[in-house]
Amino acid sequence: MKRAVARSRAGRAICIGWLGAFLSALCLAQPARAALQAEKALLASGEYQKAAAQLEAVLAKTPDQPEAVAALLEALIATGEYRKAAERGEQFLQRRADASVAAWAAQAWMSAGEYDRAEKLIPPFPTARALWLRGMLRRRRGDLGTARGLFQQSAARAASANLSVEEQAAVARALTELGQFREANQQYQLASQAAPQDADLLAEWGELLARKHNPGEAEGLFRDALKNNPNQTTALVGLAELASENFQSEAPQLLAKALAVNPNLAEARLGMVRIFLEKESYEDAAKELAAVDQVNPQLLEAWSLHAVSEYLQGRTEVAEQQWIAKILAVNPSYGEVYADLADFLVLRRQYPPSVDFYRKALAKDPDLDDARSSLGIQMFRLGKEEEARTVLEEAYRRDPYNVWTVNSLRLMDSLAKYDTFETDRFRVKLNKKESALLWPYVDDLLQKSLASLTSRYGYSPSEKVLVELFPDHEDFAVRTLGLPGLGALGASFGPVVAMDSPSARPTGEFHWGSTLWHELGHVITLGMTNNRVPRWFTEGLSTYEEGHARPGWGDPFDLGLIQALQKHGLVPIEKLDGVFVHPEYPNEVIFAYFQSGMICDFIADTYGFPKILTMLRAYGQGEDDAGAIRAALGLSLTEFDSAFRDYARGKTYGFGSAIKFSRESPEEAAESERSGAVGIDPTTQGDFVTSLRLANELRDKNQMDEAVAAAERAKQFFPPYVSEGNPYELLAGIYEQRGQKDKAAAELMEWRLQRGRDPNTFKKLADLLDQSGRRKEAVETLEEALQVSMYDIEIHQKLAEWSLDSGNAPEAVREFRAVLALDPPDKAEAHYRLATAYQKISDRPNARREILQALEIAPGYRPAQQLLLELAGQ
Amino acid sequence: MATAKAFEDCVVRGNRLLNKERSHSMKGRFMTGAMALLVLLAVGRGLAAQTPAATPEGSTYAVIITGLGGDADYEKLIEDWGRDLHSALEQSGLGPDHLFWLAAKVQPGVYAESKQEEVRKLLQTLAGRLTARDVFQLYLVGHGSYDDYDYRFNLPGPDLTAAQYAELLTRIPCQRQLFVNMSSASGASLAPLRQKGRVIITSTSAGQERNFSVFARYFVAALQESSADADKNDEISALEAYRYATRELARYYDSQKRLATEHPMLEDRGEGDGVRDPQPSNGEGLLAGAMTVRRLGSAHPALDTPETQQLRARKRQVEESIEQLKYNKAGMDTDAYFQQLEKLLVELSQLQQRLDSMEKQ
Repeated sequence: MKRAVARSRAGRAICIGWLGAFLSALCLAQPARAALQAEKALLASGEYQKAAAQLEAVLAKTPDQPEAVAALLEALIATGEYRKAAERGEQFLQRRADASVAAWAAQAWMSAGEYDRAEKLIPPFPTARALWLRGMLRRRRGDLGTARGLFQQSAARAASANLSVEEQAAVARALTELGQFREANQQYQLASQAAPQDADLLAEWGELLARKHNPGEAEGLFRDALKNNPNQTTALVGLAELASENFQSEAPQLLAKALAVNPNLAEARLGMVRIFLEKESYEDAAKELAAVDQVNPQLLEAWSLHAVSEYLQGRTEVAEQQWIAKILAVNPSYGEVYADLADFLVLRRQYPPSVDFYRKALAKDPDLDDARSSLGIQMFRLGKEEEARTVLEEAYRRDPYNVWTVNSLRLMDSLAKYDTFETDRFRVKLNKKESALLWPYVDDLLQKSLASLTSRYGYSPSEKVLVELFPDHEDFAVRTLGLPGLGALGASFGPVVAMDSPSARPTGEFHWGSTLWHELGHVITLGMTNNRVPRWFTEGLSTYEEGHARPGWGDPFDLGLIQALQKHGLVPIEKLDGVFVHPEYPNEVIFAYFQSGMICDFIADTYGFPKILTMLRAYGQGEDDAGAIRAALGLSLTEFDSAFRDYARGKTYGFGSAIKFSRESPEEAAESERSGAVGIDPTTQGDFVTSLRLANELRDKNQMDEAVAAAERAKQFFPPYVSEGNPYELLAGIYEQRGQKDKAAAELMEWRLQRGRDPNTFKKLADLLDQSGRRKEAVETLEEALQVSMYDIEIHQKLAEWSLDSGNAPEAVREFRAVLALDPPDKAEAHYRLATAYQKISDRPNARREILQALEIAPGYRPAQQLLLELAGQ
Repeated sequence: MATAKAFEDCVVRGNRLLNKERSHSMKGRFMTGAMALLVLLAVGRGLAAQTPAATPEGSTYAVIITGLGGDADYEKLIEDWGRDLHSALEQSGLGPDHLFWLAAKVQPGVYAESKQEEVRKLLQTLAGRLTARDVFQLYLVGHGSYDDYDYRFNLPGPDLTAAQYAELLTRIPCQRQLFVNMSSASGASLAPLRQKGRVIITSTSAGQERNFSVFARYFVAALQESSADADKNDEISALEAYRYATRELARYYDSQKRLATEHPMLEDRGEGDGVRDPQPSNGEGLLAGAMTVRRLGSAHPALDTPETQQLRARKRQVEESIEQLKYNKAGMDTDAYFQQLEKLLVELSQLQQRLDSMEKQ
């Protein structure tokens, strides 16, 4: 969440001041003006040190040049030499008055936390910049009324004729502080027309747009600013904030670049602090905060993050009594500290306390629009829909630009198109267009998963769990993040679960049952720890649970994970939580899920499942990773990492030692597997990739015995490979060709257990099993196929018929109903078959209804006529 | 008014084919959309009892034209769909003198290469041979293009434009025609081909839908699947095939999570822009519902005795009552509707049973 931080705009100085000073400056500066063009050009292009050196040289010759002094102060501020800048300014002002020098000097003292000295320097002449500066100083002390008056006066300067670019920028800043964003934007537009190359102006404008939720245009302005001045720190910090909001890995590099220009830049240091806190690297955060304190010991933004750091580390009393009390003593309206706490608690999924903190933030400062929006969103996440709507509507009224607010309200409106199903334990929302199909399956799975999880964890949610399935992935993303574009499949906010519905993703790509089970796992682990469980452990447990829910469930162990393992290694447990927020390479989050799940396997396999419960209890009592692991397993984090490494090596086939990646991506590697290998003995040579490639080649050349040997070897090297070209399907194809249906079925059964996902292969396996007289397993296989292909009429049809044949009429009823919900081409037949199934369970009213519907479509349909006569007793 | 006129036309065409009992039952009544549909469906059932291709009312002739593929993958798809379509129509009873496949590559089953001159020659020959009572069907499978002026179907050598197809079809004297254009941009061919008595199906809604069309896959599948026979009368009408194909096409794009790049249209009033979902309320689909494209069961002559005539007459009365009841459904109480429906359906079932029993004997 982005909030305003003290700005250090490095606007260029102008000759405005008291009238006398102005006139004298005008007279004296005339000959020197041309001489300063080079220095100003250096400043504008970001060569601050060079500019400062040259300006010092100019001032050594003509020390009373205010324009040169102002430019020097600007250069010194840009490189973080705040005290030096302020003192040089003061020295000059003792000799003569100058509004611009005074403003720069005041700004320098502000950056150093010397607010009283800053205030004394600001000239009485009411320039827009001076008024804005005084307003900012008043605001820092919580004197919001006076500050507002000063911002209004500053903004009123917009009406003055011939305002300089710098003054226009000050007006824009004052308008921003007043919440008049549209007018501020217009002001920046006007100013940039006069100075299109002014990097400072562009960067400030970008800040406004970023603050008003227009990241695309903000980024464009930041990049334009950096084209003109690669050292423009506001633009660098702005880009870092945008990257950080999207959890992209570039943020630290951008901040480091800004700090290389200005090592005392508080905004950049605080940006680093936020990243460290998000990653739970408290020591690193503390170092950065200390650096900020050294430059500006009065910075409330830094104090606020001190409070956050203490709170997150469980030292809530220190946070409240030391930091929050200190902040409020200086500025009683500083609600940002509560908003900061709330933001970080949201990241830790601690939604109920985050709601309390957002409320406190707004009580202190009702103008914190982003906090209001976040409050509404957290309430929505907690299932408090009515309250959430009220808050979000107020947030929208105050700030219609907030895309999170707008998206959430739109989503609330679209939820009217959902059917709600209530059971004892759940409230489920399904889109009307698919609710008839999905509800029986969702209901069944929710009951089974809750029963399983409750019995093993000894915890049952105290309230009904709200479950929402979204056929449009972007709706799910909005529900989760407030913005479209999320890559996840499901999310849990405690007693609320949101996820993609089976129709949200292409067939075969999404195992919806596994995802639902995973999310319900979060409901349990978040609930039993009062949301204190760390992200890695709740994700790990959910991954563990889905993987053990049923054979073949859980995410496939694909080559991408092995590649990440080989290239980057395991993540130390201490850093695992941070990966979920700030991954360092693409797909590291996916790897973190995998590793976290494997850690839970390790704990359960090695120490027993009850140790997992012990850990959860420890987290619930406020322990951190070190405390929880020591309490449950008696190990330090280092010892744990070491023990886990050995386990992981075994579980990953020696970190995939038989897989040699000759290409960059797993897809390319898989392609190379298929594209050719010759001259290798399939029974003794090669690695996974060459063996698989060879198997495919030999099969294509009709050398089936050799192909079987190579495929078997590939299986030994890396059994979990079930994607395209996998050895199981290849072997099944050969065995089927040879008429060995049992062996073909056995291969595909193994494929299924290894988490194969192709619906056609499921169907193939079901047919093979059925042809081998194994109808029960065939039915189970088709039931599993529905997890990845719920909308396949053929699967439902076959399941229905097989169930009816096997005497399982209730399941046949469910499946025929599913067929009808899928709008089959032959509706008459579907109604007739459903009527037959109802008749088998002696449900005459439903049988009658269905047969009439069949004959309504096709009155001459003879089998249906026959059944009607039977039902009518004729 | 246009809709009412279209219904009237359909009724007139339908009445020519009605037997005495049916004409009597309809006498003096202005037909509603639903009733018109009933008449046309009844016509279909009447035809089913006759020899598949040749009936006293006329014969069905079909021409399939598969165009250029452009590359091996498309070529194979287009050829396969053409072959499957040819095979389905053969199974429907169309013999070699009634069914003609012109393909980009001559192979077994292909009548001639699908060059412009061959297309022209065949259609001109048929124009001289066919009569007004016959049914003529033309199927195009392949790539089409539209340059904001003309639609063209890609053939080896010079292409044929929509206007040229229209001209060729106008010379065919059959009063009932079916034109199924399963090519990209085929929506642009709808307006030039539109004519009273002609059912037009296009795989896209406009010439601007230029991506390769897979509609043919599902239209052909409809002719191979008994499940496309929604009313279980052992015939698949053009309307049933269209509905099957559009439903499966939508399912295909949905399952792939792809934005649909083709939106099929049907026009059979001779004056509309075509609709995606033909139904009585928009006046489209009446003629298509009566136009058989695939016959399923084996035809056998009906037993013709005074008793069976009487039973059939009563059966038709019951069928018409059922259609009338269905038409009134929206304004009725649901329970009352189903009670009345059940009564009629039980009677219909009993009549059918007696007829079947007599036929067996």
